[in-house]
Amino acid sequence: MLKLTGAILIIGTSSMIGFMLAERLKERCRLLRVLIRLLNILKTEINYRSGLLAEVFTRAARVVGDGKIGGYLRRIAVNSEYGSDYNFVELWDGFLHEKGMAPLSEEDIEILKELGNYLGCTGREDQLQKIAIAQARLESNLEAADLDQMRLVRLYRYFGFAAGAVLVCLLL
Amino acid sequence: MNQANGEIKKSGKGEWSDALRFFPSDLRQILAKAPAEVQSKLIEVRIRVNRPLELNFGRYSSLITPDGDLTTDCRRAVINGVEDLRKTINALTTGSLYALENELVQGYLALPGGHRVGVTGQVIYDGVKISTIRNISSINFRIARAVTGIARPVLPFLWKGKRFLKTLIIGPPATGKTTLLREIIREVSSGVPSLGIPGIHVGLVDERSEIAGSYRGIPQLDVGLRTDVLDGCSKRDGVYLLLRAMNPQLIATDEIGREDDIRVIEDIINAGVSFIATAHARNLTEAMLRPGLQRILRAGMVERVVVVGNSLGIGTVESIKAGINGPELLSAPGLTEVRECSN
Repeated sequence: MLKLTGAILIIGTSSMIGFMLAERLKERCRLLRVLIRLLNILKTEINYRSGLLAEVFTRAARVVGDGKIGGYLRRIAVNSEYGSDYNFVELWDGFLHEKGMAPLSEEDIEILKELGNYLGCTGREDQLQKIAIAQARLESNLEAADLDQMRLVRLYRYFGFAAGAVLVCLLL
Repeated sequence: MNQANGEIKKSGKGEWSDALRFFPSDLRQILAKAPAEVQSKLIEVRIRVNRPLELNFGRYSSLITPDGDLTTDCRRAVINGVEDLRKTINALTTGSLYALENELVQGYLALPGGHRVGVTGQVIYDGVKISTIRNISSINFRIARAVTGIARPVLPFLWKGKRFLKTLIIGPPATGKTTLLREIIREVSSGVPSLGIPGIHVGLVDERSEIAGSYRGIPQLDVGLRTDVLDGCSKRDGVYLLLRAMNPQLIATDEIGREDDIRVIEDIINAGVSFIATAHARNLTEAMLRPGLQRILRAGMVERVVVVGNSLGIGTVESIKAGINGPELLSAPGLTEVRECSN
């Protein structure tokens, strides 16, 4: 009975790790899509409305279509009001290190971090150019992430289960 | 504002607390410690990199200590470092320089509430035009204060029969020319029944958002019931737009005096519309030394010249003349009326 319980626990845990890795891949793709949408919104807002960052992020929070990201953006908007002690780089950096952004790869974070160094602080044309570059790089990362997802999601799930099963066999 | 007659209402703490919210917290805390009397008289806060924080009250200025006391001793005063200035710029612009680049190339930022921030720093040219100002080293925060009633004593001299006389307000910088202009516009636009002024349509070309204190095109300061504002628009374009579209009875604008301004004034007069404008000059003699103003004044385009100065405090109307060759209708000191204005 003890052996059976142990075997179930081992297989359960390893399967869960496999599932979690697979979910992380899926979540990265989803996040990249949301972030690309966000960059599109930023481009439109800066180009056509030319509003202040606080207004841009308030509107982006409403239309980005993701509750969690929307919440983060709202926080940026509130802290970018007149008289704020925060500079935008700090706020953007905080956004990139939110718990919900963990599935992003280091490369994704680096692209966004680089963009954050310029957001707001140059002329309109330059802003649009910088956002477009970041967007193109994220799109290329998304393509690769989609391929990874197709290739690895099933693998991680099976591998998690199989690794647990092998470990149980070895231990028995 | 010093005036002989009329009830003058100068607002104080409301505008000050509204202005304070734009500063970063450390600066806000120091400024908030200043005595209430200081807060109600303050017109500018000047922040310069590696130099003391200066408070300008118009006729005099002072430095401020970290405890909010006024001082003339640089060693006791708050000194602004590069980082302080960076933080202040960030707080005043919300980090959104792309949205403010058009204002920045003109050397100012317009804020909600009508406050204005003048900036100087490294000017970057794009060919022949200024493309931006970088590495800002000085900030001049001008607090918008509504001063009502200052135009009342002047108005009887500017209104004749059923029309507003073509008027030029002259004075050196920081003597309240724009404030007087705004008040005249407000009064004639809303109407002053006691003076027989019914309220007329005023077209305001506010090239640098200084008169109406517009923020995103919406006037933040009271410019009257019948005033239409063209914000951030050049005088030339603004006058044509107003004449074509808004049928104004009076066109108001700030700071004329360039050589080509005479054509703008000519166009206004040819359309049968009156005008009121301001110009930088200490007095009429000095105004005549400026070729642009000289041409306008010599051509008899101005029916009233109002000279503003600081002799009895900011915004003292020192004289009103009926054109360059006409008699003096009002003169300082004490704003003695020398001749009744015939209505």
